[in-house]
Amino acid sequence: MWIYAIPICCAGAASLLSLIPVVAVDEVVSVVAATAATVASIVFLFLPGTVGPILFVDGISKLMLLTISLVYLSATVFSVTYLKYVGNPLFRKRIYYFLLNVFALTMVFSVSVSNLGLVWFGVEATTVTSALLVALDNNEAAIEASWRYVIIVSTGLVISLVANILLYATSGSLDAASLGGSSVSGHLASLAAALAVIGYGTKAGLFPLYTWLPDVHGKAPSPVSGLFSAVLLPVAVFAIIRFLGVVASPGARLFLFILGVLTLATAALILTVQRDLKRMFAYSTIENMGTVLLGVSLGGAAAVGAVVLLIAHAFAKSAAFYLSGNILARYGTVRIAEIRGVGRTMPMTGITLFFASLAVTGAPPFGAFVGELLILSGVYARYGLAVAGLVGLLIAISFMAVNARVVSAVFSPVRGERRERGIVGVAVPLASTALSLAVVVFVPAIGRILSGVIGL
Amino acid sequence: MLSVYGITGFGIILLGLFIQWQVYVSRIVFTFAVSSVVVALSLFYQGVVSGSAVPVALAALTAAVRGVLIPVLIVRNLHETPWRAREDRPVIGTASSILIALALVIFGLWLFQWAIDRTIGAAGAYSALPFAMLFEGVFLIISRRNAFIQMVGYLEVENAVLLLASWGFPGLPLVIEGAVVLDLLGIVVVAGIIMRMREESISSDDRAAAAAAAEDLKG
Repeated sequence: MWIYAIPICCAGAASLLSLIPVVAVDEVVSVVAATAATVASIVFLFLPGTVGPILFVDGISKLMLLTISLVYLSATVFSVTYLKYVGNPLFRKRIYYFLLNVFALTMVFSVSVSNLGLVWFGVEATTVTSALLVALDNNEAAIEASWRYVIIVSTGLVISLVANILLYATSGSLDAASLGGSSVSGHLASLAAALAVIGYGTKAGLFPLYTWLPDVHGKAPSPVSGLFSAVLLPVAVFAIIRFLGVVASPGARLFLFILGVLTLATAALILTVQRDLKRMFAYSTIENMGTVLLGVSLGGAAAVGAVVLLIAHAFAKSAAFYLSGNILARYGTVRIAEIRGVGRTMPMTGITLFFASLAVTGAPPFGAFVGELLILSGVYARYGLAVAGLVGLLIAISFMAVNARVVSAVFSPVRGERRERGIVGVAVPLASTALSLAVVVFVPAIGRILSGVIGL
Repeated sequence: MLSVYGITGFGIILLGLFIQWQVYVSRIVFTFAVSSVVVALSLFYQGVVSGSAVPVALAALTAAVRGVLIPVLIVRNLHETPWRAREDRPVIGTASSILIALALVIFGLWLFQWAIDRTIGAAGAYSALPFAMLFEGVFLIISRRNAFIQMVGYLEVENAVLLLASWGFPGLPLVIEGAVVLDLLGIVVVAGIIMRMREESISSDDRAAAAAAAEDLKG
């Protein structure tokens, strides 16, 4: 059982060792810890899950652990090159790595524990540990974004704490493993589930409390934006899945479906007027999370599609944010109108950004395409052609809005010398985009791993 | 004991509405401090009557941190940052915000009454009051831009959670109370650091202009 605590221990040890004031120790221990967590997470896929008083690792936990570990690894490696371009950091490099490792620790903790109170504690701890990372650039906009993040997300999470209280009042327990199988029902349980959707949904970027997200993603350093978009939001989605897994409430699932459609619609419409590259990818994340939550609300094959989309999106979106960091370092801006000819001046960055953009918007043959297809099939089966058509149209609008802008930035003609980033700066996003493509091969395996998971 | 719940609950809701009415931060903070002390007294009374140490410990923590420490720190900070002394750009006008807050309180009371069932004890009906308070606190955060007032709104929400947990469900596991306490320590400390950074990020010119504008507003 305790073997599943390895990722938690790795991140915890790295956070402490990062504080040693010796040159490059912070970078080395962070990369080593993230690598060890990734290897352990791969091994977990071949081991039986565990159900205990503290740890509860089932199929979805294993997939979340693997995704978090891989993005944690890519973010720590990319940080090595990215931090060279931060002119006036708010704190020292070793504090950055300390916070990054603690942030990773809180995420792997959240998806490994059994008690829903501890899941809540882990998700709330991600806020505490990541808030200062957002403000690394040490300017007024970044600090303001950090403040909005803390106040809005914490308030949302207090609502999910109330959901836990009401669940305990109804069931007498908060243990997800023992409550599994949707055994809790009634008005109070439904209210608890709805509050959990609102509370954790605030962190997942759900309508209407997503307003913190574009600011934070737009102003945070690129590795942190990548972590937020790729794994922090999915951790909040995981908490919703866990909660819905113990409460039998069709009303709460319908409520989640409606909020998912509203989230998707809002993000799709706002995407059509975006002028900032990082904010555009932030709204794309909101759009993806809205789609994911549609799948979660429907269950069955659509829920498997939601998890496939979560994983494929995680790799591709982290790549998109890393590449935005490359562009910011070279062009000094992320305003799309001022970014021209990336394909010529930074060929690897430009081409990888093009493919990463296709991947996050669900183009075939990337994993996100399969995920969205499964979700759309589920929507069609449950609500008919009109609703499925609406959801498909909103996804198509997002696809066009994002890719049109990326194509204009990458393939526009421009004269100028080549100024490509170093090998680490381009290899990490390239590998992440390739992983997003590879997910499609593992869809049947993901389906098998998720069989029998409560709430899906 | 039930009448104590009722008087305390309605009193705190009225104090919340009074906060919504105010624009000066110092008055809002003072009202919040009074509200926190009332919450602490209620928890203390509950602990004494039930013979349980947990509510007494929570009462002490609430009184010390939210009743005294945080209000004192905010008021001290206000002396250094006079441009934050009042909310001059509320998202929603005062009259409208009072009406909306009142409507939210009524909605909260109705929602809890709808959801309540026999699993909750005799004090369950009164738990609707802190539940309604939650909506008041969230609305305060949404309707104001001033960082101090948003912080008061957040702490108001936490007071509501403590009361809800203690009144309605006294047998809750320690993980809930522990979560509230750790949340208070973590979020308030981080929020305090960010608030401090926000102030430092404003240039001295901006400070002078903002201070002059604040003086003008005082008339």
